[in-house]
Amino acid sequence: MRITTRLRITSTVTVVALVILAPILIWSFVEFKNAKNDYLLADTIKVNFFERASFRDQYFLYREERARLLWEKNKATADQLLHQANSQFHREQDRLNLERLCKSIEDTAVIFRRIVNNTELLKIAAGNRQVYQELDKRLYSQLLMKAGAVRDMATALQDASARRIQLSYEYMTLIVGVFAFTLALTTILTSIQLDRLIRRRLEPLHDGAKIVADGDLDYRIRCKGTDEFAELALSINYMTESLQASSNRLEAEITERRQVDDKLARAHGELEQFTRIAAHHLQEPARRLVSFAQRLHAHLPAEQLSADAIASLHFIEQGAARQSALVRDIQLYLAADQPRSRMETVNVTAVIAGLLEHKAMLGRETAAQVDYNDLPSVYIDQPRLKDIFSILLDNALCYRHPKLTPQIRISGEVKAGRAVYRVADNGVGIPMEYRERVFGVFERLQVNDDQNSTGIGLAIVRRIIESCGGSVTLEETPGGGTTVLFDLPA
Amino acid sequence: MIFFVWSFRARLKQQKCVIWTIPIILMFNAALMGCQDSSPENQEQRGAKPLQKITVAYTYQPQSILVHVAAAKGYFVTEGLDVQPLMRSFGKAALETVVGNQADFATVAETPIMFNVLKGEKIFVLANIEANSMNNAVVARKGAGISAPGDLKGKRIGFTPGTSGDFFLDSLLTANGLTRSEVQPVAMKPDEMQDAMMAKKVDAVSTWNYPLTQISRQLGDDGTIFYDREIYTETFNIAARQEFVQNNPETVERFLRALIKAEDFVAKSPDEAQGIMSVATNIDKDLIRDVWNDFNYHVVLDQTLLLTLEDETRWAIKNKLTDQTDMPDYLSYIHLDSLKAVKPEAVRMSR
Repeated sequence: MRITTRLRITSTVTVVALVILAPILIWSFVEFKNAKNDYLLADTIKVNFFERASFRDQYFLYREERARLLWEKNKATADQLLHQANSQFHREQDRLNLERLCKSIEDTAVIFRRIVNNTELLKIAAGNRQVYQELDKRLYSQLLMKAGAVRDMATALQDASARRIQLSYEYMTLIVGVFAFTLALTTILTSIQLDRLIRRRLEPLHDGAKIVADGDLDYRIRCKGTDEFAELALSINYMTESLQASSNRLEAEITERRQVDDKLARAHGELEQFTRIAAHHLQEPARRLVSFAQRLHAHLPAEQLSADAIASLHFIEQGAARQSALVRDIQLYLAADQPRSRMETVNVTAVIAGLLEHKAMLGRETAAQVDYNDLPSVYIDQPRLKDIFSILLDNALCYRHPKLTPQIRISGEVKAGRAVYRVADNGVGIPMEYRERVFGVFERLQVNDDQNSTGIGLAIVRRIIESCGGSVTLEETPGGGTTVLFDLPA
Repeated sequence: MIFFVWSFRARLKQQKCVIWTIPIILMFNAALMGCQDSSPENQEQRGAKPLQKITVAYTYQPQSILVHVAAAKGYFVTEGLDVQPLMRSFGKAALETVVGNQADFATVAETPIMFNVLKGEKIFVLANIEANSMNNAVVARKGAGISAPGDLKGKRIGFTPGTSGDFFLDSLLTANGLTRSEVQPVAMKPDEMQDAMMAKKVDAVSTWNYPLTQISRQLGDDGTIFYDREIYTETFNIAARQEFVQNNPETVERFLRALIKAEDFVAKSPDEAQGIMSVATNIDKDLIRDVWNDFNYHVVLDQTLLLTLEDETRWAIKNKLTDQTDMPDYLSYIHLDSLKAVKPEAVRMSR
C-alpha cells in the first residue's frame, strides 16, 4: 500500500473520529450548561424556601402582619421561580419532583393562610378557644410536614441537577479523553508504523545508492511492492542505467579525444622540432652571408668598389644580421615555455646587476639610470629570467624619450606566494590601444622604426611568464612612459 | 474503533507486531466484561439459593399496593423471598400479627404504630410506603341533617379506635371548632361501618378507602364526604419487630428492594398496577382508579412520619388514650439503615 494511501486512511479515520466525537462533545457541553442552570434555579428555589420558612417562623412567633406580607411576597417569588422551572426542567424525574414541589408549596400556602384565618378566629374566640389553639398546632405541624416536603423536593431537584452536572462533566472528560487518546494513538501508531516501514524500505535504497555512488553502476536495487519507495528504487535504477550509458559514452569520447590529443601533440612536437631545426639551419646561412660579405668588403680595395657596391654589401650584411636576429628570437620564443636549465630560486637583483654589466656600453651611450634595489627572489630557471629582464631593459632603452634621460625603475614585492614586479620607464610610452597588441609575435609600434627590433621580445616575455603561471600587463608610468607589470612564482 | 480494526489488520498482515495486539485484545475483553450484568438478582440466580420464607401481613387498602405488586410481579422471589401473605382488612390488625409474632412484616398506618410504641412494643418502622392527605374522611348521611362538618355536632359518628380514622375524626372536629365531647363517637370495626351506616346506626363514619368510597357510593345522593387535606397527613408504613430486623438485616434489605422495584413499576405502569390490585383485593378496578391519584406510592423515610407520630402522641396523651405522659424517642423506633443501604436518597430524615 502506498504511504500516501496509508496517510489518507489515517487522516480519514481521524476526521471521522472528530466528526463523531465533536457533536457528542457539543451535546455534552450543552448538557453541562443546562444542568448547571437547573442546579442554580433549584438552589434559588431552595433559598427562597428557607426565606419563606424564616418569615413563617417570624409570623408564628409574633403573629404580625409584616411577616405575613413578606411570606406572601416570598410565595409570589416562589410562583415565578416555579414557572421558570416549569419551562426549564424537562426530564421525567425532574418534572415529577417539580410537580410534587409545586403541590407541596401550594399546600403550605393553603395551610399558612388557614393558620392566618385561625389566628383571626382566635382573637375573637371565647368558649372554644382551646379548640382553635389545638387546631393552630395541628395546622402548624402539617405546615412543617409540607415544608419538609418542599425542602426535600427542592433538594431532590438540586441533587438531580448536581448529578447531571457531575455526569456531564464526566462525559465531557471521557469524550475529551477518548478524543485525545484516539488522536494520540493514531499519531503514535502511524508514526511507529511509518518509522518501521521507512526504515525497512529505506535501507535497501540507502545501501544501493551508496553502492552506485561508489562506482558500481551494474548494481540494481531490488524493489518490491507498489509504494513510493518502490517507485524511488525504480527511479534510482533507471538513473543508474542512464548514468551507466552516459559513462560508457563519455569513456568512449575520452578515449577518442585522447587519441586525437596524442596525434595533435605528436604533430605539435614534430612541428616544433621542424621549426627548431629550420631555425637552426637558417641561422647558419645568415651567419655565412654576414661573414662572406664582411670578407668581400675586407679583401676588395676600397677604390675598386663603387659606392653602389659598398652599399649593396652593407645591405647584404645588414639583412643577414637581421635575419640572424629574427631566427635567434624565434628560437627564443619557441623555447620560452620550457626551462632551459635547472629550476631554482634565483636572486633577481643579482641577475639584473649582471645584465646591466653586460649592457654597460648601451647604458653609457644612453646615460640611463636604473634603480632596482632589494628585489624579491623568484623560482625559475636563470636563462629565462635573464631573457625577461634583458628584453624589458632593451625595450626601455630602445624606446627611450629622445629628450629625456632614460630612467628605469625596477621594483617588486611578494603577494600571496607570487613575486610581483614592476619595470617602469620614462620612455615614449605605448598608447592604450596597442598595449595588448604589442605582445603579439612580430608586432612593433612602428614598422620602419630605426630600432634594431625583431618585434618578438614582448611575445617571448609573455610566453615565459604565462608558462610559469603568471600574467603580464602594460600600464602607463605616472608622468609618461611604460610600466610592465608581471608576476612569477616566489 | 475503525482505526483499531484497520491498525489490527495491518499488524496482522505484517505479522511482526504481535505485541501491539495484546493491549487491544485486553481492552476488548475489558469492554466485554464491563457489559456483563452483575446485578444482585443475577448473582442470586447463579447462586440458586433456596427462597427464604417470610410472612407479611398486609391489607386490602390502596396503601398496600406496593406489597401487592411486588408479590404479583415476583419481585420478592427475585430477591430470594418466599412471601406468605397474611391478609388483614386494616393496618392495625396487620400490625397486631407482627407484634404477636405471627408475621415478620406488616403494612400499617402511623397511628397503630404510635399506640404500640406507647404500649412499649419493640417495633421498627422500616419505610414509609405511602403518604396522603385525602385517604381519610368522614362520610355522613345528609338525611341525618349533616351537610357541613359543623353539622356533625351531636351526631353519632362511627370510628375504629387506635387507627388513623380515630385521629382524623378528632382533627376534623377540631378544624371545625368542635370537640369529641360534642359528638357521639361510636367505636366499631372498619368492616362494620358500611352496614352501620346503611342501618342508620350511625350518622357518619370516619374511615378510609376503599370503604370510604364504597359507603359514599352506596349512600348515593344521601351521602356527603368531609375531607380536610390540611389537617392530617396519613402515612402507611412497613413495620417489623426490632428483634427480627436486627437478626435478619439482609432479609429486610431484600424486602425493601422488592418494594422499590414495585414502586418503580407502579410509577411506570399505573394501569397494570391497578389491575393487579383489583385482582388481589377483588375490588372493582374503577374504584381503584377513582382514588388512585389521592395516594403517593414512594418508599421513603422522611420527617412526615416523625412529625405525625409526635402529633398523634400529643393527641393521645392529651385525650388520655394512653397511660404514657412523656413523648417517646420515635427515632429509636425508626430503622434507617436498611433503607439507606438499598436506596440512600430515600432517607430524608436526620438522626
